[in-house]
Amino acid sequence: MLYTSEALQQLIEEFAQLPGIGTKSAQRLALYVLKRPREEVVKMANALVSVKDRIKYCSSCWNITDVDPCIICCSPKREHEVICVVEEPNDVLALERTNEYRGLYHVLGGSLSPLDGIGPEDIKVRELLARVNGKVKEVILAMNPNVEGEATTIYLTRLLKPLGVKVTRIARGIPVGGDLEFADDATLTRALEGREIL
Amino acid sequence: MNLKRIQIRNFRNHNQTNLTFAVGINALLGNNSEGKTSILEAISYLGLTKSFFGASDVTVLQIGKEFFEIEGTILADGGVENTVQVTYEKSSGEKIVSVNQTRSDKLTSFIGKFPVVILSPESNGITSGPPAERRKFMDLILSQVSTAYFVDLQEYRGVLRQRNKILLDARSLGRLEPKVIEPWDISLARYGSRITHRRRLFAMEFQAFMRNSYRELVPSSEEPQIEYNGIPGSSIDEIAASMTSEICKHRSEEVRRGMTLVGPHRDELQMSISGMSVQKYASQGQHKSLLVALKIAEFFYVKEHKNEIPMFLLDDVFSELDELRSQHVLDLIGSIGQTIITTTGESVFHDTVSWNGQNRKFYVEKGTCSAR
Ligand SMILES: [Zn+2]
Repeated sequence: MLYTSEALQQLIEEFAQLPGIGTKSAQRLALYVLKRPREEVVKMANALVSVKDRIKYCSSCWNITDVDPCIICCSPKREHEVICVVEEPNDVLALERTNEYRGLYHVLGGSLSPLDGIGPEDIKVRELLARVNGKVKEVILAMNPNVEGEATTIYLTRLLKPLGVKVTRIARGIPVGGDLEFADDATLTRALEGREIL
Repeated sequence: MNLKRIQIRNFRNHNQTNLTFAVGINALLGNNSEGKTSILEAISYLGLTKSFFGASDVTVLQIGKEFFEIEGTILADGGVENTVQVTYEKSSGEKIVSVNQTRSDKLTSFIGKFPVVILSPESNGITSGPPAERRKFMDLILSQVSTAYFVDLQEYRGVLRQRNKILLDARSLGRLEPKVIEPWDISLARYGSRITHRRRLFAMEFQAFMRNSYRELVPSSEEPQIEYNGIPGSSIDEIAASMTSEICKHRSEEVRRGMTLVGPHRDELQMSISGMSVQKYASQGQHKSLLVALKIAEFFYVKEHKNEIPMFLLDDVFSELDELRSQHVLDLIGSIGQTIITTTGESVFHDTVSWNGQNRKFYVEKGTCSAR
């Protein structure tokens, strides 16, 4: 459908390119923006631009940050001997929400996926190996539970082990607080595989 | 299990078809292309979330309609009644499967809940077609009885797609960097060895089921055998080790052809009768008997492993079988559970089936169906 306003049409098209947004949602969002006071829209537009202008990647852990190195890498309260490797900045947010993990991170920026044209050179592997020299005692691999995450885990393990560092991976298993009988079969199957000796 | 009712909307030539099935034999009668097979196809959506002969969701959607919907009321053998619903929307291309109004997000937790065994003209390839047909036969049985197998199979296929891309790129580049493919070699061997091991165990166990059902159909001294031909090894670790060394040996050939040449996606379930290869030497009659025997064996195998009696769907089977074999099949299925049969003529039922409350017949014409 073509709107009588070219500006509105253009905004809808921009929204529709966002992940998970279809044409209908894009129309709703655009009409919402249209109804907001001008100053609020300016605030939103500035936030969009400054995300591109101000946000950098931490030159140590490759997480997104305003300052380089990032506040996690700089913090004297964190254990600098432990590095948790994740695929995306979102994964850092998830782990930070737990308030349990006190070590540092390393954000790869993806996982190995030949079909998407992502090979070892396209994720921050060399940068990780450079960090694991001397002081680091443990590297925790926390990839997504899919074939790409698995291949990335295998790849990193083979590179890290010869460096004499302890390499671990996070467990896959039953969601806490969920009853065993309601866990889906695939999760249960994997949890059985990852069982531990008591 | 027992499919008590089904409601089919906008599916093939069925506008709106509601059926209440009997617990024994249900015969769907009518001429060809009136919509008999579509009813079986709709039932296969309830068990497998897809058409049993591989038609796409768009293909089965009635022309000019925006969505199709299939709803079944299924009584499990334990006595619990479930409502299974499969809907497909054309505009979003989305298929939603729900059990008792709760959306089932993962295919892996749905497949096998409502087991079905299907014998149709498309099944002929199992005895006479290429090895892929027999792998499909095993995979469908094992996926229904073991979620672990189904998960491994999905992951294996994922690894295969990624690995084939690397090899395809290597072929056009003319070189392959070892570090790029090595993690995928390990993944391939990891999932591949589990699949190979599970299929091999299956073949050994399934042979007894198959011999029993073949003997019922063919009263002779003929003995059918099945054997799984794949990477050797009697444990997962052994298979993984041989697979890893096979992968190394085939490295340059894989690059030259741009595809994965080692693994269970190339294995074969060898079938023979009294030592003679079925594909090479079996007569038409032997093919037909063996196919029916395999399907009946599948029924009993699934039943034993699921503790749930599968639903047996027979699509136009009697036109392919002679009278003696047809009677054998009817005798057998008349006593095992719920079956739904499509056929053009009802003469085959005359001597064996009485249309009481246990068995019911329906007449299908132009996408509408009425009980008789
Ligand atoms: Zn940092």
